[in-house]
Amino acid sequence: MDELWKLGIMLLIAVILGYAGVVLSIILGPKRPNKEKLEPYESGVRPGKWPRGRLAVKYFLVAVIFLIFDVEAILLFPWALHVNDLRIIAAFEGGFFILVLLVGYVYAWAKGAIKWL
Amino acid sequence: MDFILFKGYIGWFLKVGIILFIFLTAAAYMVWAERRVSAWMQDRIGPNLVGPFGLLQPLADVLKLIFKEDIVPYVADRFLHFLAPGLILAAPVLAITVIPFAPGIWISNPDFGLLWLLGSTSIAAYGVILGGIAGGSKYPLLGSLRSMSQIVSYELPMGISALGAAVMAGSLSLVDIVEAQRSLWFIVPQFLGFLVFLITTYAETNRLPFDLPEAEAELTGGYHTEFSSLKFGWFFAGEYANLIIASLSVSVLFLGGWYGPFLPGIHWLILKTLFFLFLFLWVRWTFPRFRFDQLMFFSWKVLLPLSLLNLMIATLVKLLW
Repeated sequence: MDELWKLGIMLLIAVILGYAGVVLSIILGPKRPNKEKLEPYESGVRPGKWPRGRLAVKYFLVAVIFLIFDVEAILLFPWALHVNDLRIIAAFEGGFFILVLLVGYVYAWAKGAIKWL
Repeated sequence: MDFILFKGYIGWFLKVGIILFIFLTAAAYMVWAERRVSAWMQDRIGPNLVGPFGLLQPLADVLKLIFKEDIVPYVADRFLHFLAPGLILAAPVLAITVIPFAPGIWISNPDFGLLWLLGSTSIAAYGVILGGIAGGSKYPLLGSLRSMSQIVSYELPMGISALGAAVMAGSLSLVDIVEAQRSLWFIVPQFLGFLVFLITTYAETNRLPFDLPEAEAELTGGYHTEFSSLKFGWFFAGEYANLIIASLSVSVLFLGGWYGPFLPGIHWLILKTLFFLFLFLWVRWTFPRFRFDQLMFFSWKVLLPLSLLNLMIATLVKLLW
């Protein structure tokens, strides 16, 4: 059997395993809702307004930096497979690639994008 | 360890059944082990009433949780509330697919095994993030925001340090990576990579000292506050299943998988995995929790440069060897 088919079947099994239990407990559990029970938990305080609003920009900044670096890191995966055949060329190319990555990293650091507080 | 039983289609499904059964049972017993070991470290007794040494406790817990009421808060997003717990259990099941246990004992061995492993472990992060957003309450939302930033920051050093092992083996298939460690475990030339990878697994599985998404003292349980019945159970079991995956992947990538002196095959992998699982529990009761800015500082300014340095070391070792 092809490896990709095996992965596809496992994907199906994983989803079924994950949701069978959830569905089972929704069916089997008792259903006695009341107003207090259905309130979101806020340590006993009456819940205020809807909490989904705007987020601090720091979270967005971290996500963007991650996106840039992760796309660059994923390009290193095919490179890693050919270090053995390309030998010294691979070492120089990998080194240059990481150097370019480091320039962006130092720039982000200098601009204070990585600083949290 | 080449069983005649495991040939052909039927054999493959049999193998999948056995591996998944052992894996999920082990995840349930990790909950028991966590409670017993924490009790032992704090000089308490822990669960010891259900069965000998409390060994039937996980079964009792699951049965109890199935028959509990599923409470969905009226502000919750009902679809995400249903989606999140299943994702968190599906992710480790996907990850176990590519883990090689012993020669011939693996579910699948694709050429991109390492990518699949990294990818499927980050699906669990979606469970955590969506779980926090779905509740419609403030504490889980804060937990899920923290988790988003934390997992995103630690994903990068994790991928690059795992890449060190791929460079050494010249392949992304986990079986090839283990085979390449026949004479020398990668922990020796890749010690820095091993350390970075081990630390990032703690952050990826939300364990102390990086368990800010569920910091009990400040967030009342974090992302799973609004979940009950088996939905909560899945969050709990999924966390421990992810711990097992993390320990297995450290053993496979850096500690030579099934290779070791004296004992044959699978025993070595089990011993290494048990050691790392115990380390998870040990660290939990030894280190205090990080502050959030320290956590981000540690990932971006310490682990990321170290993992890049490790990649250069891996290339040099590969060229000079």
